[in-house]
Parts: sequence; structure tokens; C-alpha cells
Amino acid sequence: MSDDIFTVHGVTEALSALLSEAVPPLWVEGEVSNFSQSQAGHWYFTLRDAKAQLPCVMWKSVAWRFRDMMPETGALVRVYGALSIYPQGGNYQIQATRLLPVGQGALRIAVERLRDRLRLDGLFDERRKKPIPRFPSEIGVVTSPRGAAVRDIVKVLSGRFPCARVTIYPVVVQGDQAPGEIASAIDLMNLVGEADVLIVGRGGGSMEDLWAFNEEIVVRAIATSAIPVISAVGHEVDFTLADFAADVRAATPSAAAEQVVPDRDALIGEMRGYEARMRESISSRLRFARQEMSRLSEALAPRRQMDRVRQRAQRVDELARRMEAATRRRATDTRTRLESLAGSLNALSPLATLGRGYSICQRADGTIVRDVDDVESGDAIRVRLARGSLAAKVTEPAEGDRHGEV
Amino acid sequence: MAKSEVTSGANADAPTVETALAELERLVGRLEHGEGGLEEALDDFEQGVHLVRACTDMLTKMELRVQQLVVTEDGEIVTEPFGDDAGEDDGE
Repeated sequence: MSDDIFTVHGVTEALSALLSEAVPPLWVEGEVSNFSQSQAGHWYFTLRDAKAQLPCVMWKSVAWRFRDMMPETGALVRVYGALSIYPQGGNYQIQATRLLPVGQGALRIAVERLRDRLRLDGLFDERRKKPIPRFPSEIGVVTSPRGAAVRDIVKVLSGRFPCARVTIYPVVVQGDQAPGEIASAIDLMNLVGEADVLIVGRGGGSMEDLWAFNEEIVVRAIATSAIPVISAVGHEVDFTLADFAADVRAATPSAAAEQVVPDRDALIGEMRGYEARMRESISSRLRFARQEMSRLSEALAPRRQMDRVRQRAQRVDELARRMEAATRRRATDTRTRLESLAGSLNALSPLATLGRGYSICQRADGTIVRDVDDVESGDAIRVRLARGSLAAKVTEPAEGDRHGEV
Repeated sequence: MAKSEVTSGANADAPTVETALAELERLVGRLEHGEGGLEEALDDFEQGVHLVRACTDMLTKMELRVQQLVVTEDGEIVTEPFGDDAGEDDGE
């Protein structure tokens, strides 16, 4: 016969050890009955089907997180937890750590309850929304490293704006670990990452598959992220609470990638636009300079001074060469036009004349003062010298004589 | 938490598209408002054309850098290159 006499609690402990070793935490689906909440806030209920029943306990610390889905008798639910022995009762039970209503309708009601509560907490306020930077230098992506989402995102970013760096934070996006992993990934990105925008999401799936993105812990992590977050969960039709909390909701992961960076071709177009405007400006500057110099040389350069003008034209030559270099790769007609303008500059430079001590007097609008009638007492004028210019005011216009005071 | 592996991949001297666009906008503004002398205008123009070319080249030639964060056994966070060797599409 057996030598060892067990105590009652000894048997129970041995059985407990055996049970926890042999049966890892698991999901059980069943109908809820005998639901009650204790004074302390713990939940007690029984899961049953046609053939058996299983007592469940959900401790207050956990139950609090599932208060939006407090089950009613008759509701079909899934419960996740470890099986254990309740020594005082001599029975076994499941200690539930997670709870999911079964069925689209029940899930939807649970999501709506949580949504209303989080909305009251201000998590979805427009005031909280942060702008997405136009040119992110680093894009953080919190998603599964093996999913379609990450591939779609990388593919779109490569084609659209390859100047950014992408940092993927690999997480599981469905199952028990998903909510915790996603939330800590967001927190960690805020803590150590250099990303200036985050994409959080996954590809399409059933409402159950997308469930992690309806979990409070994930929604809160998104809402409190200092880095702006783009949510990219599922397909166009899928809406999760993560979408409400995110700064921007993208319909799909690909759409998120399109929204997070500018388009390469559009940028090149924008730059070409700037280039065209610069070209237009410089051309009209040159046209204007040519006209001005034509006037100045008529007024100031006696024919015998033209040799010196030509000597000083070396400077203008240099400008012309530079301009040619800058535009070499451009269309020929543009180049020809600029060259001919530069040639005009060369021929008409008034610099030499100014060097000899002549100055040019201009009105505020730039027109050149040739006649005393061009100005009135008190007019502001500008006197251009070989080096620099003077702001001056007319004090006493006089016929046949010239008076100006600097 | 170490992130020594998180290096800046970009050439620090290379203009980013963002700064280049801002600079272009400034140059165009100066040119269109006729600021500075003709020589300065040509300086601006040259600089602008150079920027447009540099950025267009960069946008055309650059390749996206993709890395992933990995937590080591020591709890350190390091970055690793992220390859295309990932497994089958599991729908996630």
C-alpha cells in the first residue's frame, strides 16, 4: 500500500501544479450564465454549453479593462485564461484575463461602448490632432514584419519619396500579445526612435482579426503619442477605434504611405516650376538692363570713351559665360536668347563712364533724371556712383544749374 | 536603452528636399522682386539651377533605406537592415 498519506491541500496543490504544467492558458467559448459582480469588483460567472459547464473568475484588475463588454446571461463569449484549482471549493475554474463577445453584433456594441467612453475622455478631440510633417526624414512603421501591409508601405514609399528612412517596429498584430506589443511599440518609438511620423496598422481581416486596434491600450497609446500617428488598419470599409485616435486615418496601408510623403514627380514638377520662374526673372532682368544701359550710354558715353567701355566689359563677359554655363543643358532657344542679351550687355556697359566721376540721378521709380523739370523740390532721388549709390533729396531745382543736397 | 546603431544614413551636407525647396522659394522671391544687383541675381539663378538639379538627381537616384528595431536579449534596442526575405503573406 502507499506509504504517503496526503493532506487535502497537498493533493490540491499537486493537482494545481499538474494542471498549470499540462494546460497552458487557452481560449474557451461558451454561453454566460450566473454572472455576478462582487462588492470588490471581481466578476464571477459560468461558461456553459450543452454538455458541460466551467466556472470563470475575472479579477477586478482585469475586469476593469473589460467593463465595456460586461457579459449578460445568455451571451456568447470567448474567454482567455489559465485553468486553476479553487482549493476551498475543491473545484476548478478558469481565471480569465481576456474576454471577447462572439458575433458581429456583440462585438460592435462593445466597440461602441468603448468608443463613447474614450470620447468622453477626450481621446478623439480634434484639438489633440497633430499635423503630419510634409517631409518626414524618418517614418516609423508599427506592424507585422511579415504582413502585406509592410510590403505595401515600403513599395509605395520607394516609388514615391525615397529620401526618407523607414524604421519598422515588428509586432504581432493579432492574438493575445498584439494589443500589448502594439502599444509598447508606439511608446518605445516615442522614447528612443527618431521617427517624425508613425504608421500603425495591418492589412485587412475580419473584425476579430482587427480587434487589437479596438483595444483601449492601443487606442490610448496612439492618442498620447507625441509623434503624429497615421492609422492604417484593414481595408477602406474597416473602421477601428485606432482610426479615431490617430492624427490621420488612412484607408489602407498603401494609402498611409501615400499620405505620409509627397510625390516625387510632383516635387520635381514643383522644382521645375521654380526654375522656370527664375529663368523668366533673369531674362527680364537682362532685358531691363539692356534697355537701361542703352539709355545711359546714349546720355553719358561719348563715342571716344567706347574703348574704355570695352575694356571694362570683361566683367560682363564673365557674367555671360557663367550664365551660359548655368543654362547649358537647357533648350537651345533659351540659350541663344540669353547669349544675345549678354552680348548686348557687353556692348553697352556704362561702368567705365561712372568710373570717370559721372553719376546717374534717378527718381524713386528708377527713371533717370535728365531735366530739372523731372523733379520737384523735396523729391527723393538716388545718385548712382561708380561704387555704391547715395540717397538724396532735391532741395532747390534751378534752370541751367544743378543743385542737390545729399 | 542604447540606440547606437541608429545612425543617420543621409549625407549631412546634402541638402534635404525640404531645405532645397525653401531655398528655391527664397531665391525665386529675390529674383522676382529684383533684389540685389545683376551679378547677385546671376548668383541666385546659378544657385537655384544647381539646387533643382541636385534635388532632381537625389529624388531620381535615391533608394529608400529600410531598417527594423530589434530588442536584444540584454534589452538593448538596435537596428538591423530590413530585407525582402520575410516569409509568406500571412494576411497581417
